[in-house]
Amino acid sequence: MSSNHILLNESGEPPRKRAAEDRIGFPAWRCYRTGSFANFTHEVHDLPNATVPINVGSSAGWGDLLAGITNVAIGVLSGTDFGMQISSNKIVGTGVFRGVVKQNPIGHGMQIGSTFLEGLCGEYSPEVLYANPEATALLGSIQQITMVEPVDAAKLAQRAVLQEHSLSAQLRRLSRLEAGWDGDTAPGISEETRSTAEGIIKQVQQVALSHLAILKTRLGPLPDGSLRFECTESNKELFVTVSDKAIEVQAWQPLDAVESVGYWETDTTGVMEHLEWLVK
Amino acid sequence: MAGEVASPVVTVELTDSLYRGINPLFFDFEEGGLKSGVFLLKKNHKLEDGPSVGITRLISLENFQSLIGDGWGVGELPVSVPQSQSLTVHPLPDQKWGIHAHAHAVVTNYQKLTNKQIGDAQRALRDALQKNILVKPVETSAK
Repeated sequence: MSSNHILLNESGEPPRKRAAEDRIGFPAWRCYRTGSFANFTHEVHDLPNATVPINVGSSAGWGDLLAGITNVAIGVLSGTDFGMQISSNKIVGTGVFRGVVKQNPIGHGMQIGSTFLEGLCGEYSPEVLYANPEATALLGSIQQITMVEPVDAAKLAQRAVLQEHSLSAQLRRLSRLEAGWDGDTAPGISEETRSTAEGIIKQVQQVALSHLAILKTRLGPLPDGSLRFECTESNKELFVTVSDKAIEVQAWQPLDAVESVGYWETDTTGVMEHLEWLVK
Repeated sequence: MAGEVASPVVTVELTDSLYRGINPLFFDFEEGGLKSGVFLLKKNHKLEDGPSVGITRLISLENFQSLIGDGWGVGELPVSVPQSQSLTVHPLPDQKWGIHAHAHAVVTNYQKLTNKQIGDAQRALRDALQKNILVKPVETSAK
């Protein structure tokens, strides 16, 4: 999942340094809706990639979740009068200010109640940022601004959770298969195989959340009593075959390749690197 | 002996096609795709353990369906696919198939392959069968 982070800090380049007249007084807030702000945004886009921490208000249970799915650091600042609600995401702009932080979900609700801004314009789309003007004050210079490409993180997180539930439900059903389920001599799924498969499901979800990519994953039994995950992403496919604690991994790229790029015998701890290969 | 009809000698040609039964457990009903378990190839398999197939030249789809489990699907793939993976399709009459016994064959010769090659072959067979599913399996409670 590509992202274009742009970092600005106090020792950064001039584009984020606004004129002194912009630093004082509330009128600077209105610059979000001016052409000069648009130019500023353009300049921000031109800066090199960087990673930026995002700090959010307290009591943010969603903060942990967001941290897991956006690859950014989420910190909770205390003592701030910062109430906001992120109803969705597609976060394209994040400003980190001294004591206060804003996040700007394009096209979705973000409400800032009583907000203090230490600094000037971040990169914000004027049509999606709402603030109570009387609660806005400019208290200092901006520390950091970041830009990321739109990421429908909430929807992705929801899909990751649903996939985990679906795979777990499938695993439960497969665990109940009785011997001869294939119409022949197939054994049932052993408890050890089921337990190992559970660990793989968790890793699949972990990869989804940390790499912003849902792996298309099929889980099926094999007539020898083992279970196989068949994961695809983009032009890659991975077989993860579980038999008790033993795991075999085989990978193909591109999808229409007949010959695999590798075959490995491993255990649960060795699977993650292969799942991550899918999303790299 | 009078009245006894000798079983025909069956050879599998490169131009032949094969029916393969599809257990619903090997079908992804959400996405509509096959899982590779539809062809299990193990190094310790004996000849008769190989995946069963029906030679389409010798049995109709309807008759083949009558020989597999209720709710199972049927796919068809050319003999050239297993052969391209260094596998062979070996005619192996199965008396459980009654008058169609001679139409039964098994995929074999994978026992000599490496684990990596066996995985490649299973996937190739899955993909080939996926391309021509004649009868979709019926979803069961334990998909």
